[in-house]
Amino acid sequence: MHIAEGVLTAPTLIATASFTAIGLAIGLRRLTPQTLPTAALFAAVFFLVGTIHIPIGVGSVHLILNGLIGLLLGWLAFPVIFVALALQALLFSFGGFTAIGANTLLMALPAMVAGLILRPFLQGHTASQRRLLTVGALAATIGIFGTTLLAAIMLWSTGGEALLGLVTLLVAAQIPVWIIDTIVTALAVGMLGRARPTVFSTNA
Amino acid sequence: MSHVHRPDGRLRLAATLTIGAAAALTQSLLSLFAMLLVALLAMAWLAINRRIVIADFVRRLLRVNVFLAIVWLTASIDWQHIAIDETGASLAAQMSLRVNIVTLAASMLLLRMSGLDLGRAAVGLGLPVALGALLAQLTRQLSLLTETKTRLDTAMRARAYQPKFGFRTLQVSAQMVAWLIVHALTRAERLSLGLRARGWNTTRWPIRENIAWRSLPKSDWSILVAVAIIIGACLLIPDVGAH
Repeated sequence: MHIAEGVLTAPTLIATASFTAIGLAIGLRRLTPQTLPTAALFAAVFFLVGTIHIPIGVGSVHLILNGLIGLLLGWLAFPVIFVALALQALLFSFGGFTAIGANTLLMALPAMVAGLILRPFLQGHTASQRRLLTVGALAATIGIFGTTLLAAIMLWSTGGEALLGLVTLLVAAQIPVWIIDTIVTALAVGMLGRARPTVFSTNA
Repeated sequence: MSHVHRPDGRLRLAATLTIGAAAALTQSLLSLFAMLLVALLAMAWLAINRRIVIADFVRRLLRVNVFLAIVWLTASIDWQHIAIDETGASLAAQMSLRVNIVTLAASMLLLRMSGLDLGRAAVGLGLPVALGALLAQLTRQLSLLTETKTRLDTAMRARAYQPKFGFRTLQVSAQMVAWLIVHALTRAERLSLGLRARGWNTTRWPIRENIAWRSLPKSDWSILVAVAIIIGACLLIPDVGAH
């Protein structure tokens, strides 16, 4: 999900960029030249999953999976999502550079929260399949609900009552995204837990 | 390969950010309209003189304008009384002008800039070196991982897989995501092993340095000066609606 450049007002852009700067500063403390390739590869995965579309009727929705990124990376989600969004802004004009602080915050903050809350449940080698699926579903729910809530707050702070219709439409449009993201994240976490049980204790 | 000189990436990125900031701070519809007019004229000039195909610009503009159409429908009309909501219409007009200005400006100013160039330019403007290096690495790894995804897509199509709305499609998508992550991790481990085997144990971020500011040709600065002059002139236009 991106908020297009030019939509948010200057105070909202400055406030969100400040929060993102804090998240980036904490995330970058966990990044070293040795772990750089792993972080870059996760950023590439985040970039690519956005190109997977699930058809719904005449349209389609694309995966967000920020909850999964949070489970895998924790605080590192901030720099990883930041660079992926910067590249999307450059290549496709999704989001844009002055809104990159806002867009990073609305995707990375719920991801980081999902990671902080749920990663402890996946540590070690003993996570059952049921636990993997439940944690995956909860991570996606935190990711999508958090992102939608933050986007709604940002739009509200920009237009107030005038954008109430747009905010309502945004929330309604996220329901199918939430259902699809929850199922895909749960299944992906289940598969990853079987194939690479240590993946969730990796701190890239 | 093109041998046309392009201004320094830092100056192009700074000009893009300046336009974004100016558009975000401007309330006057006339000033915003003037900026959009200049951006459209610049696009036309580029298309004629530099023979740039504008199909990509048009595609980007169409995409953002679909979103803006939703903004107009939801914000400018009071659906309960079927009347124009003046506050909402004014907000939608401001948004439409801003979104089109910054989309056009970014498309033109950052034309043919790669992720590597963007990372270096951003570091040159004060972004932490670690983030610039991460962006540069992402650009390198993305092309490799895209190949893997393309191979997987081809293999799935060869098995007559067609995405439809249903559990099977969601399951296959989850497999694709899990496979991409496992592949990324395996690749990262191989990279790390290979580098350590070569005695690579650096604490330096792998990113190329920028040319010194004073070594930049004067003609490169013209882009930033031109943007500043145009924005200044547009902001001086009096707002007819202001009291």
